Amino acid sequence: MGFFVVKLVKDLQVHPRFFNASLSDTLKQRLISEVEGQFAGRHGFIVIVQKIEEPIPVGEIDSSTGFAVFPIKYHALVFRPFRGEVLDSIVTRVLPHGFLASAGPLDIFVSHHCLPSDMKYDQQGECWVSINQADKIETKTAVRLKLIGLKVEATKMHATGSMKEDFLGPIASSADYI
Amino acid sequence: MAGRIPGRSVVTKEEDAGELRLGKEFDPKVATALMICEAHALLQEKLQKGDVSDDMDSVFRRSLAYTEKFDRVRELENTQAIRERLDRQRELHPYERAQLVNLLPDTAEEAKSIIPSLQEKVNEDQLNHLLQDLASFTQG
Repeated sequence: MGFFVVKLVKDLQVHPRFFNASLSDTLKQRLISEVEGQFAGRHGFIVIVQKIEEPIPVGEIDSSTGFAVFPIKYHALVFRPFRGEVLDSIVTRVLPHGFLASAGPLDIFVSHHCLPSDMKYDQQGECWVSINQADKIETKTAVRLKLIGLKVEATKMHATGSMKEDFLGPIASSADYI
Repeated sequence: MAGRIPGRSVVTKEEDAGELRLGKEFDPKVATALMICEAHALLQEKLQKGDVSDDMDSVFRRSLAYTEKFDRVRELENTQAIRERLDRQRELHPYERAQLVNLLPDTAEEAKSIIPSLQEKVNEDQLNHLLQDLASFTQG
């Protein structure tokens, strides 16, 4: 659910004082610190730089700044959820109008409209419970959701999920994996 | 009305994982879909090398916590065995193969419900057989 290795390119701007024998190490460190943990639009979240393609390309001087620009090609482990995807998540916050869950770096909102109709909010327990008491959603519950909405912005991603279809909901055996 | 500012905000209406519409960035020719256990191995490797964020809210830490919790394969040799078994299922899209292991459905019916693109692709017997093989490599 959402982990991929993709090939990306990053233009690194380097000040001339780094033009020395350790330039290639400088470039590698710069790449890691500039892209890891960043959100890269349609490519999703860049989790780690897995591999940098060698040889490192020749830089080109930017005549307006005096910096050199190196187009570094690399392989990244990214996390990218998709609309229509079913994935497992952990409930982070229960609200009277739904709940919030997280799947890796992604936050997902599930509205009460997208919960099975037999689930009711329990104000005292701050949880959602099914009428027969079989299903309970509280903080830290592992739930299987379907992503029904995904909005990709320049720096972040908004996701909405649903628990209304068959085979979605709290994961019974989640205790085995803790 | 002014046009949409490029790159600012994209509602991903054209995408639908249920129909394998993942967008050109995630075409199997340019992107490799990983199973959670494979992603977990890469994150562990990075963790052992050190130099990772201590901020538990960082993309790295949140991803690591996620793969730790939902990796149902655990052993590296099982990961390799699963990968070999899945790669024999040539009719399946690489994304479908990863989803099967990540979600580990119990039955063909469940698999086709949570991975809808499988519906027309494999018959129940073949799928049940594959699910049994996968279950033998996983814990739980």
